[in-house]
Amino acid sequence: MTKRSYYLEIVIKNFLAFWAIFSGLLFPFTVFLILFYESNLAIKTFGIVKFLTTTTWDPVSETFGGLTMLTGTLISTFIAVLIAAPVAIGIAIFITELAPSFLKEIVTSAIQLLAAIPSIIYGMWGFLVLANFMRTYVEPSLQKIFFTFPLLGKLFSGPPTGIDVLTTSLVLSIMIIPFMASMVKDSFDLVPSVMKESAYSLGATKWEVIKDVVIPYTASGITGGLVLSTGRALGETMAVTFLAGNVAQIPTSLFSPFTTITVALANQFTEADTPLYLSSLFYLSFILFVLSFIILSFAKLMVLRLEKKWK
Amino acid sequence: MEIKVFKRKLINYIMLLISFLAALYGLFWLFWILGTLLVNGFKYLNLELFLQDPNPPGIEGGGLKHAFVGHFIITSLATLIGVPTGVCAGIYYAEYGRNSKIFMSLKNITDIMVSTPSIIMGAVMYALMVIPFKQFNALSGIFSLALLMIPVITITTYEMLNLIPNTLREAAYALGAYKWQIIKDVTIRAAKVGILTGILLGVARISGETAPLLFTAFNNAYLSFNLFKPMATLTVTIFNYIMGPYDYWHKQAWAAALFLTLLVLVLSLLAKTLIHFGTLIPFKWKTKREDRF
Amino acid sequence: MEKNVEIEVRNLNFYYGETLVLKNINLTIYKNKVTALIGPSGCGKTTFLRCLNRMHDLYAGNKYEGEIIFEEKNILNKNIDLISLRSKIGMVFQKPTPFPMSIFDNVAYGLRLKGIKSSELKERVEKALIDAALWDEVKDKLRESAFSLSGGQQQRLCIARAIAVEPKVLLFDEPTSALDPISSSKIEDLIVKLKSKITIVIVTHNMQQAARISDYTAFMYLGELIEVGPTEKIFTTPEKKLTEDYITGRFG
Repeated sequence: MTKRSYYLEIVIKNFLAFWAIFSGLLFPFTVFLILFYESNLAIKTFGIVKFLTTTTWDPVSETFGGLTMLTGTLISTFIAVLIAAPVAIGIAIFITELAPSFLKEIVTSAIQLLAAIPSIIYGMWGFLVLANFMRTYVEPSLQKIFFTFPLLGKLFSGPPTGIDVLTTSLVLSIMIIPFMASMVKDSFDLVPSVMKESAYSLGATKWEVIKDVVIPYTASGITGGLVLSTGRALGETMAVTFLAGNVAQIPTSLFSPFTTITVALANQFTEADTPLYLSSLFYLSFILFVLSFIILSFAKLMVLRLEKKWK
Repeated sequence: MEIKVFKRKLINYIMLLISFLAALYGLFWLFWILGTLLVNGFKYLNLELFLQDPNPPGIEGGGLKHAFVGHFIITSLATLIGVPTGVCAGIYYAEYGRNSKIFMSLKNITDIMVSTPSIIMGAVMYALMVIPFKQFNALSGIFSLALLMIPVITITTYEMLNLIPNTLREAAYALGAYKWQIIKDVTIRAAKVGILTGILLGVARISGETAPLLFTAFNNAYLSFNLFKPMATLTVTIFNYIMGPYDYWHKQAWAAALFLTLLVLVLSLLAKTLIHFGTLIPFKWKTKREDRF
Repeated sequence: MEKNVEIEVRNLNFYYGETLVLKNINLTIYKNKVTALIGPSGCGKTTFLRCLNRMHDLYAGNKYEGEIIFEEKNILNKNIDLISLRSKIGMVFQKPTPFPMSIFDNVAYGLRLKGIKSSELKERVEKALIDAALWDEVKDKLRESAFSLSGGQQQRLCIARAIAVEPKVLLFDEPTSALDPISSSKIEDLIVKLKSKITIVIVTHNMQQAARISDYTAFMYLGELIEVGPTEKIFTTPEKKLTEDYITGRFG
């Protein structure tokens, strides 16, 4: 063992360590700092509570409040996850428990294909194809069905343009289904066969085994997957930008155009002509970053819990 | 007794049918989206798209050469920055940091960064490079894509290296090698297919990104190789063309979208086939029944 | 079928895909007796055990040939209702597999599937836990998670869960291989006690265990049934040389 090798060892180790610290610490911390620094002007001007509760977003009078964007982000994400979750679990059940081996490969590959499609494709397809379809067929029908109901009818009121909460959430849900399904499937794969066989040997049906053994066993993994998908949906930009309508209002119906944080950023970053305007946009980015970081951390904790149980 | 069992079997059948329908639901969307993409994109896919620069707005014809070239430049340079960084970080986490609680927490933070909204990177690079330079520039776009790539590559490298059994490392140690020598000559070589797969997936991911480029590299109506000026990319161009009023813009956008999707799918497929046929774990102990005596 | 025969296996062949894994097995399993299956690793004893409750049906690509007669029917027949079959032929596995539920709910699981409720449920759970020699240790913490029990207790819990549905046959797949000696002997005592009500088939790689608790022993090798007979005879005066070599530790 030469002296050269010994010193090389130290140099290489430190070099690699630097990049590890960069990716895990310096990088996220820098993002946080920069966003915070750039938002400073807006934070000082509007404060925290006021910014989060004001709906006014007026570049002319330089009054900015993030409530419309925040609610838009939360509502579209919530509805998307609501639609996607049962579908994703159903797909995972199909792949792991039901499908004969040739179908298993096909469906798994199809889901992976869906996951690989760039988000701008979802956006443009949604805009040019789905929105028209929703406006012409689906939304008028929904309106006819529900308009007699008092509360439910309100949800389906307004001119059905196809560029609204419903279409956006729908496309968003399609985008997160593949990821959610593969996370649930991975959790299902962690259940030891003996566990399932024990239930079968008591005379349980396949569904009973899934319901009583597999799902409770993987509950934290499934929750983690759901929360992780929520975190991703929060930050989705391109699909939402095409389909939301970019109207700074709190949506009152599924057919209202609305806006989200990502939509506002995508459309207005290049338009911001005053320091306060720009700073408010950074303020929105900062909120988005913190929000998604918190949700993603929560998801990670849940997944780690499932893995620990298995060890 | 028979009725009870029948009821349970019925419920079983219905629930499994529902899960089958869920799979069909997913396939339905896939076919619709890819179908439209194929039909529309194919119609307008032609050689001019790749070879010609765009016409002035409103005048039919022209191509997207500037966007193809720009996209290639930005993606490859981002890869050049992101991959080595990510691989180094991943190596450290897997080979040196596994027993350190601190470093494992850092790894978890990196994992969280993988799913962070991509537009955030655009905002950060805007502050770091667009404002000081007082104009949109390709370099800021390159760095925002690189920043997106780093966590992805780090985590996949880490996981691939983790798959290598420790016995391999121990055998090398027993011969008296230094840690860095073992990493260089043994571990990485064993994991190289997996790491390459991770890189391919990372490239596929950033090839399809739009949001971080929207206000960093911005867009350019002309072919440009200047990294300090705005540069056109396929994704941003598609975005602008779809939002624009001209019909021929929409057509060109479909064609470009088809190309982009095929590119991303081919990269992903390549990654998958590599894993299937490459040697991921070098020594698989034989456990066939006949061999067991 | 004779009165004291529980299961009759005739000319059983079993295929994993294209490979013939069990060759022409003929075996009689007697009521309320313990039949042990012994043999070296990979001889097919667990594979054979899993034929008895058609556990192989859970996985694709398997094929049965021959007959397994139970309750006057060939249970290898495609028309057999597996759900009823499995509540009559139960199984206990190598590793304890408590479900992610309370101790009570674990034992009650099979009963609830059958639709048994409230007071009858409680009685039968208690009875099963008593028969499994676990009642005294858990009676005050029935609502606690099954994971709070030790390994040996968890295995007895799995046994309680299996006997709660009052099966006619109970299959044990190396039930003590993951347990310490004290827990193992508790389970061995349990098995001997249970046989008065249930027919027991046990796979074990521990010959001494087979000699201790079984009435009949079957020796398997490379997928074939080499020899079967009363345990004492197999262990003292085996007929085949292969059996003798295995018993005396020359291989395996």
